[in-house]
Amino acid sequence: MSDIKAQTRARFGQYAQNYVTGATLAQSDDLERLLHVTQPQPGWRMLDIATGGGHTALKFAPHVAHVVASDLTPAMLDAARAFVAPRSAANIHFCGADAEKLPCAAASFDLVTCRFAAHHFPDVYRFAVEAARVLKPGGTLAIIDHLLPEDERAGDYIDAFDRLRDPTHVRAYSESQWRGLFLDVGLSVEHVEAPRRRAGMLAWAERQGCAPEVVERLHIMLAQAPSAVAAWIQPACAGTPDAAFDHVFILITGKK
Amino acid sequence: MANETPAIEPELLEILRCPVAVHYKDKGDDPGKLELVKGCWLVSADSGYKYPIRNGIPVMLVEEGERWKDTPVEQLPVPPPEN
Repeated sequence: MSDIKAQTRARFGQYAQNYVTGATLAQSDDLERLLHVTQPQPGWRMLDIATGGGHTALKFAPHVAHVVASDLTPAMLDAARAFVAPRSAANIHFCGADAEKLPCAAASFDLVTCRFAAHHFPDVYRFAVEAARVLKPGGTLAIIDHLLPEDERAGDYIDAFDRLRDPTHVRAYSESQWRGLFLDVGLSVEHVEAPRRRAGMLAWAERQGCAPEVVERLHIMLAQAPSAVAAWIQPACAGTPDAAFDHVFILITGKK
Repeated sequence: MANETPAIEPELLEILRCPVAVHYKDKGDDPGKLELVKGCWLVSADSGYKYPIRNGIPVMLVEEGERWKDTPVEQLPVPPPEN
């Protein structure tokens, strides 16, 4: 296992519960959009890669026949199962899996989802190849993840800001990079949207257990954001408890 | 509790494959199929990799499968150790 994957497992094992109960990931506006855009059908079999707290799996379970919910981190799967079990989702099957080496037969799924996880993958191309492989012809890959601006230097700054808070953040991508990736693995892009969500910086840093000195550096990065970065993330109140900025993310779907 | 580890759901077993052997080109149309043994192990005849089912969750990581590759089926521990 690569260093970054081992680090990701250790970190998300430590903070698993935060990702089950954390307001941002449990918040359902983007899940509602995902449901609306993908239009799941009762006979569908779906795979939710890097399920984390199990929120996507739980949201889709009433609309499809079966959900396989996979994650690299065993503690995350245990936490997700404990979260899902009382909510009567008997058609969710949990499985430990590496997103870049999926343990599934080719053409197994009508829908593959991956929400707020691709930025942790050391080899996102390998992940996309695998996701496309396990899709049935006509099946849909739907991804929600951080979105970077097309301006590369601004994107690098935002990536560094995210990585400071969470060292297992490998990198995020711009819309054109996502579109290119889908095309590279044989998927036609069907839908793209880029919603924004206001984030309080302190709660966001606390979810990853950031030390005070890290929080201080995050404040500094927010305060010193170059204009192209500021235009993208709209920072406010840096250096105060009200420090806030915009999370910009992408919802992109493609068909095999 | 560990002795009550439930067997895998059939819907999941049907689509799970060894993540290594599923890419083999010389093992027919559907390589990497898994067989449930001892109620808590998934074994790939194609690769020899063996994957534990811990607390009802199959751990389909290559490192796990490789770790047990040379352990004969009859010597696989029940239940699988936690780590």
